[in-house]
Amino acid sequence: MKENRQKTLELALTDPFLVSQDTHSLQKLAKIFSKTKLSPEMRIKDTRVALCGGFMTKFLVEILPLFFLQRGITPTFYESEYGSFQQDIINKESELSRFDPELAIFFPTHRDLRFPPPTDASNSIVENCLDREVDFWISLLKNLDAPTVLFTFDPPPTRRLGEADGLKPGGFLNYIRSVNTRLACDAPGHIKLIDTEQLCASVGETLWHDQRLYHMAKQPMSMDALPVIANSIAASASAILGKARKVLVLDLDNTLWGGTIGDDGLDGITLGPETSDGESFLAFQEYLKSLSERGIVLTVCSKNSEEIALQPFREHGAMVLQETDFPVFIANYTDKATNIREIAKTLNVGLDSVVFADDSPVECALVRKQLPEVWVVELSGDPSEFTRRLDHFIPFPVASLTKEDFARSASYQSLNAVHSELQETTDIGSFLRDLKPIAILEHVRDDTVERMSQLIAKTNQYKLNPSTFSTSELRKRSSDVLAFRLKDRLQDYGIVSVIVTEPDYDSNALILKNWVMSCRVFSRRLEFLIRDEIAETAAKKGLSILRLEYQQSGRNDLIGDLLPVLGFSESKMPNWFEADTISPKILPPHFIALEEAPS
Amino acid sequence: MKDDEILKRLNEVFCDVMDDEGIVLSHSTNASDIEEWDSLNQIKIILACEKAFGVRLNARDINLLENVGAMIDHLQPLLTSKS
Repeated sequence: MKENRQKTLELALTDPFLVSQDTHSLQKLAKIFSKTKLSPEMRIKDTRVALCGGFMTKFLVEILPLFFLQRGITPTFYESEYGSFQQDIINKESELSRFDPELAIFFPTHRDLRFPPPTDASNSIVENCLDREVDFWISLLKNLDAPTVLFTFDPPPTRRLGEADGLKPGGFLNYIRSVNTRLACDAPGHIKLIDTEQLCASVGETLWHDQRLYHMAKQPMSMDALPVIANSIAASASAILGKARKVLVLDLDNTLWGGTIGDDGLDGITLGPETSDGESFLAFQEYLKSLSERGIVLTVCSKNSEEIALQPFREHGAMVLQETDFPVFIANYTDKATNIREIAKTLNVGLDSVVFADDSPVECALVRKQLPEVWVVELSGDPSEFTRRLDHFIPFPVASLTKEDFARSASYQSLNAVHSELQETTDIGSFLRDLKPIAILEHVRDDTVERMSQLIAKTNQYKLNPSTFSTSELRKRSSDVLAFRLKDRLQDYGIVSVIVTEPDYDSNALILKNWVMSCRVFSRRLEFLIRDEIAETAAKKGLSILRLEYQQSGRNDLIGDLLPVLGFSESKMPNWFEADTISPKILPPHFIALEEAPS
Repeated sequence: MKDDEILKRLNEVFCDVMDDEGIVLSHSTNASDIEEWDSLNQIKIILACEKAFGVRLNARDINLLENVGAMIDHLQPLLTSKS
């Protein structure tokens, strides 16, 4: 009995469709969870999360842990009391301050708006209200130091100007929308917004509001809306904390087109506007293309010969996706679990970054069983439902889109090219030299700071310890932050490594609070150039020791193994490593020229 | 529906909501008898009752339901008028 319940919970937590369960089932799962001791392998990323809501949030908090666990985060919650979430944030002595959240969820409702204009207000009065309103919320939010998920204001259940409420200056819905748009523009970089109106629309407005529940228990949204809300919170949290999935592995036959290319041939497969199914597959491909354009890495894993699998990409006129949209393209007869492992390895990502989509229940079952970390989406049946089935549980949340996100897909592409060339070139030195790499020392600036903060949060493998830095913190520390952009004759990789330092003059040491490097540039020897730059920074400050804290996460062995090579050895304090500022002489040559960006 | 039948189904609802198979209700059972019967679980019980009995309760009436007997008395006429 007890084992059964445990099993049910574990199954639910590896199921990407958790959000589709009804609230009652989720409450029961939450009960099981509250009585369960988490096994160490389930405690992946412990995080203190504060929920500051303008309503009674207890039912939300009840099911929220499930959605965090499902995305690899083990949360400890603090919940603002009903009616005191604003004071909680302003008061520096509050329990919230003592709790010191690593992530805050700020969820006001339209009832909390301060300056809604009267219905007969003129445009200029409305503008004035808007200014004061947005000022108020932005300055309130500035009291939160932690990365914050902000719910925009929800649409009201009643419309005081009737069906024109969203259109006229004095309409309340119109006001709410304007406030939300302004917040989206003006919110500081550490705040990620959730579009509440879109969320409400996806549930359906009449199903979203529950006036009775509001009057009884001060929860204005229905119980049925809670899973969608919880899922959106966990999705945003995972993006902020660097736990978001970023790789989609796709089958080909009956997934990207109808039919089997090997049997039906180029003319026989269903794809294109001639048939409704053909249109559906086109629409699905367009959706996938948009994922790729915002930095999600598309890959193929198909049971075919490569030549046959590539035929539609090369010869079918209706294909939206191109061969070049797939940094890794595997078509062979090896089992898919093995292939997916290979894909993850090639891209230098963990299996918990991968979503797998296939029409075959057999393949899906196999991958589910062999690779439980991978999210499996079975795309069987009507292809017009594929996009919704994949998209509605938010498999690939957006943190905040930076220019680098848009470039990442392209850069994985050439990483793969680098890998395949490497296999052919025997002399790695001449290969690297031939790329004519340049490292550019970047400063903390408005257009770089967000990427830096994100890189620290998102990196898993080349990372000393779990510490993260908000954009405001990086600004504060700007003179002690080293960041590097890497370019070569093929492309600009963007900012790929960040080191946050802190001088400790008492012990004559430069402390590396954290050092991260993007997996896109592994094997480029950039770390050796950076080792020299760190040493020089220390020397300039008159410090002669480098010190850092390395915490094993199960995924960052890469940097752990590298530390001795870089001259670091463990000190008397466990996990703390020290090195001389003088670099070890045996470092391999990196061939990278150094430039400095204008400050 | 007979009172006993309503009581039996209410008992199932309580066990389900509280995740406790050991709960045995009587007409006089109230919130102080069951540790887990707090205001949040009260809401859940009401919502689960609505599903189990196929009825809709209003907020004013719900606040008056102080013990199991009162719940049965409240449900009884709703179920009679349904059938």
